[in-house]
Parts: sequence; structure tokens; C-alpha cells
Amino acid sequence: MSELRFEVAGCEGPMQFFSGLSKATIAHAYLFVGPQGVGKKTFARQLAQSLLCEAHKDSLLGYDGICSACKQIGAGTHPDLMESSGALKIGERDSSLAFGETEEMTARDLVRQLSLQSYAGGFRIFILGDVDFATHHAANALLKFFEDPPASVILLLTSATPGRLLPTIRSRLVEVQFSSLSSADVQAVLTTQGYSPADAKLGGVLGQGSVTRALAALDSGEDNPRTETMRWFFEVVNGEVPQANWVTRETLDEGLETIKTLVRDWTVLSIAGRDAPILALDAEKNLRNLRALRAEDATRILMRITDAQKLARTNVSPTLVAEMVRMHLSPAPSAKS
Amino acid sequence: MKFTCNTKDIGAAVGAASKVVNAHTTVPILSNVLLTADGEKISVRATDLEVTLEHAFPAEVAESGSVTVPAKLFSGYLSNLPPGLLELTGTPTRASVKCERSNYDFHALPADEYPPLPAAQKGQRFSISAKRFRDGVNASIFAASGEEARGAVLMGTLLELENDSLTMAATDGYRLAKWQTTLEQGISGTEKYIVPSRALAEAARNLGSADRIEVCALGAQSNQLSISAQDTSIVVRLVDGQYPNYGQVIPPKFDRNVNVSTAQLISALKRAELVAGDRASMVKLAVSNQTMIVTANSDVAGNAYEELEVEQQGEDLTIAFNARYLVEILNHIDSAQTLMEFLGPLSPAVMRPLEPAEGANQMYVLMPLRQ
Repeated sequence: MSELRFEVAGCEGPMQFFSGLSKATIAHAYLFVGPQGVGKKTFARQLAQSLLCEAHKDSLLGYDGICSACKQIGAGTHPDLMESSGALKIGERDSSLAFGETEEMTARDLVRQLSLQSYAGGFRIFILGDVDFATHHAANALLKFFEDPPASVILLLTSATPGRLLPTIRSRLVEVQFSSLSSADVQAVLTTQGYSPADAKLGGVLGQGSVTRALAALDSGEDNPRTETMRWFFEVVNGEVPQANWVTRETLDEGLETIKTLVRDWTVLSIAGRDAPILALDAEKNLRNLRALRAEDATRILMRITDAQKLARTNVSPTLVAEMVRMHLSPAPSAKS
Repeated sequence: MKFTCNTKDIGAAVGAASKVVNAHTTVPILSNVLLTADGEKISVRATDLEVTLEHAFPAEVAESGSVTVPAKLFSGYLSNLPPGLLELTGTPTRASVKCERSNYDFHALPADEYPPLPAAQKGQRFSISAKRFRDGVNASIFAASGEEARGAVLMGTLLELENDSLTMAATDGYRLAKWQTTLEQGISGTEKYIVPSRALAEAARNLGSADRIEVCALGAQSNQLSISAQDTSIVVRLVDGQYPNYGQVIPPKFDRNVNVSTAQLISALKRAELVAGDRASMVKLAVSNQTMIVTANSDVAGNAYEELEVEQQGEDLTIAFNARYLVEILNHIDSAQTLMEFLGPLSPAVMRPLEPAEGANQMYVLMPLRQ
């Protein structure tokens, strides 16, 4: 018998939870809640593979990676596993089209697949990553399946913002919490992805518990939002009024998190001295050249960035949010002179 | 793998299979057809994970194996080949084809990533003449819903088996088509399968010219249905759900009926519908003194008036229908005369052929419109 695998870094809590379940006691729908980049989707995929794997096993978790089902999952062709990511639209279209004849998965596609019997005769598993329903119509189209799921269907939803889900849907889901990863966990994941030990270590620090954030930080491309955000930050604190090119609806939250880290490091250097350890190692030189920041100013700026992060998750213009942060970061006229 | 075959055989097989392929799938290998050489035959398989079609044809196999090739591209290439022999050599990444003085290399994807046919246990099975199966599919599936918003159950067609009786029923909530026949080889007990109507249409198109069709449920919970004939088989995933109790909408008795020429009524309705177009295609049928008067009117287009001779039994009646639905039903009635049965202006009306085709019973129910 081949060895079974289940490898998701830093997810001991969820692993313990699911290890206590069996195919008979598993619920029909779970909501994996936690910050971005902590392994929710990876866990959902491996849980799905464990449930579909044909290998005999005593525990719920684990797959052999070599059976027919595992090969199909690897190739993305398992008929009983569907995965979508992001906002689901309702998907009204010409009914003469067959299933999936649009580039993106829609709520109607999901409803159609939920309505079909299992292909292989076992579970049918649906992973809705970073689930968000673009409209109430999309949510309502799926509501019936959350309320009264067909036999052997398992829905695995992941979300960093579960509050955006309709209460009627959320109340039907079993919530499983995923916490931020340790630096060592992030470093381990980056190492398995082929990063050098130095980059993995840097990513472990910059990621602040999130592999997604670590990967974004290590991306050294010219249009890397982190690089652009840092350039904007240092120009602002030096009294300039730069173009906020890093600001889009998608990058705002991540950018604000980067700014928060930079302010944190700036504060540490100002209060604990020039030799204090910092998180943003890739901005070390610029940070050490900054003027000293007073503790009360640091507190005020950090509070305003937290406010901006809250606004960033609403419908407020991203440019306005960035402008608000710029006003608080800019030095007072006396400091500038 | 390596084989030599007739260009016509492989062209027909790949052409039929490529119709199942979803051109816009996001899974690259599902754009391909799987060719498998084994023994003295080649099987060509295509799937969109809902419907799987497999067709086999004879070939001279030099080396067994499998290869997947892009369906539309390969089908287009084969359809332009002259009659003759073709030699295909397949590797996990390439399919090389030699035909007369032309050589083509097609990029392939690994065949072991192609979804396998379910190796499920076989359940109830029955057989039916291919012509009768095609008649049943044609007579019923048009009434299934085309609106995804109404759910997959109503988009499917119900196959209801009770010993040697097979009923195909489809409804979209406004009309119902029911077709029933007696099987030579039925099943023991009762079974109900909700089959996606698209799959039945595919089966009727691909298997309709065969002699007999074998239908077999697959899986412990009858999750799939295999419909096969000779060298072609279609495996379809069944719809998971409860089909509405359609018998409830069929009135148990009628108090009047009309026998009308099918062709004349279709013709009159098509003309009247042109006028009624902007009012939910509403036409009124007034039956009185052995005459049916078809009327329609709208503020924009004007008025329509048609008179037809009918054989009337029972009291006079005026009833309104959606002309498009009624024409569609009449188009599927395989008889010169149609029997229309009524209970009143607001009860569902029933239409059936006056002289039903041998061995099959057809019945259609249509909800009237409020006048």
C-alpha cells in the first residue's frame, strides 16, 4: 500500500478537527475562515482529494496521489470535483449552450453541476475559494443547495471576509478557523516552492503569517505593487506628492498592509534606536534614513491606516482612501522645513 | 500506438465525437478526443463530463495504446481527406498522421489524464428498437424547459419504466409531452431516470440509424445511464432530483372534444400568431356548430380570423392558448387528424393523434391562457 499524504503547513487545528470525522459524519458544507494566504484553499483541495481518493484508509485525511481519481484531480479533469474562485455572477445566458460554455464559472453552472448525479458514484465536491456572490440573485440561486443539499454533496467555501456572506447562507455552514502561519511555516512553504533559503527567510518575515503576502513581497518584477507602494511611501514621508500608481481595488488592502509594516518599522527605529530589528528588510536602507517619528504621531498614523483598511473593504474609491493615508503620512509644514 | 484505418471511418467517428466536446472548456484535455487502439478496433471518445460519447470502428492495429488530439482541429482535418487509408502513430505528446502524400503532426495531451468511463456496476437494462427510441425522444424532449433558472430537473426528460412499459415525459410547467410504448424486453419493477434532454437528443442523433438500442443504468445509485447500439455508446450523468408528479395536471375526464385536421390547424395558427405576436402569442379557439374559429388581435397588428371545419362533441367552448406552444405540439403529432379534449376554458387541454402510430401512445397537455 502506498503512503498517504496530507501536507498543509500550519493547519494543525483544522487537521485535528477533520481527523475526528469520518465519511459518515462529515457535514455537507464548511466555511474555512482566516486571513489570506494561510492555506485555506490548499487545505480544501487536499481534503477534497482525500475524500475522492480510491485508496483504502482509516482516517478521513490522506490521499495516495497515484490512483485514478488522484491523477484526474492532478489533471483538473475529475468530474466530481469543481472549483471556482472569487465573485460568482448569476450567469444568465443562452440556454442552448452546454454547461461551462463561458470562460468563468457562474452560479448557474454550479446549480447545474449540483443537480447532476455523481460521475464516479462517490462524493461530489465543490470548492468555492474566496467566495463572494456578485449579486443576491447569485446567492439565492445557490441558497436551496445550502439549505437542502443533494446526497453526497460537500461544499467547501473559503473566505477572508465571511461577513460578506448572506447570514442565511453562513448559518448553514460549519465554520473552521485558520489562523496566521508562523514565520517558520511560511518559510517552509516557500522552500518547498523552490525559493532559496535567503529568499524563503525574507518571505517568512515579510509575509507576516501569509504565504500570499510573502509571495507578493518576493515578486521582484518592476510592476510589483509592493515595490511601487514602498516607493510611494518614502516619497510621501519625505514631503513629496507622488502619483499613487499602486492603488487599485485589488491592490489597496495589500498596499495598506505594506504601509502599516513600514510605519511599524519606522516607529521601532525611532524609539528603540537605529540597530533595532525590523520586518521590511527589503526597505532597510530607506527606513534607517528617515527622520525620527514621535510616538504619538506613530499611534495616530497607525490608527488612521487601520481606519483606511476598514474603508478599503467597502465601496469607497481606492484613490480617496490612499489620499487620506497620504495626508496623515505627510510631514507637518514645520517638520518638512 | 499505431494503426491504419479508412479515412471515412475515422472521419465519421471523430466528427460525431467532436459534437460532444465543449469548445469553451477551461480544462484543455476536454477539448480533445481520446483515440484508443486495442485488438482490431479503434475507439474514439469525447466528453464534456456530462455526456460521454464513444464510437468504435475497425482498423489494422500495429501497436495498442491511446492518444488524445484536439477534437475540432482533427475533425476538420479528417473531413477534408480524400477516401483512402490513413496511418496514425501516437505518443503521449504527438499524433502523426500519414495519408497518401501528406504528413501531419498534431500536438497531443497525455491520454492517462483523460477522464475514464465510470467502471460502475450495471443496474437495470432494457432494449428498444432504435426507430421507436428516436420517435419517443423527438415526441417528448421539445417540451422540456430551456431555462436554466427553472432548474436541471425541468430541463431533463423523465424516463419512467414499469415492467415492459416505457414512458418519456417532459414538461416546462406550461405544457407536457408524454410518450409511452411497450418494450419487448423490459425490466422487473419500476425505475425513474431524469436524463438531460440534450443527451437524449445526442443519443437519438447518433444511434437512431441502428437497429436496436440497449439502455443500462450504471452505478450503485443509478447515477448514469448508458445508451448504446452496435459500436456507439453514450453515457450520461443523470439529474439528481424529484421529477414533478405530472399526472396531476392531466384532467381525469373531459366533457367535450374536437377532431381537427392537424395541418389546417397548424397553418391557421401560424398566420394568426403573426397578428397576436405582441400579446404572449395569444390565440382564441371558439368551437361551435362543428366549426372552430381561430382569432387573434392586437392594437398594433390588427385582427385575425380563421374558420376550420371540425368534428365537435359536447358543448360549445372558447379557450385561449399560446399559439407557439400549440403549434409546437401539433408539429409533433404524427397523425392527419388531432383529437383535442377539453374540460372548460381554464382547465388544461389534451391533444393526441387520432390514429396513433403503431406501438406508441402520444399525449400532450397544454395550459390555457386567461382571456
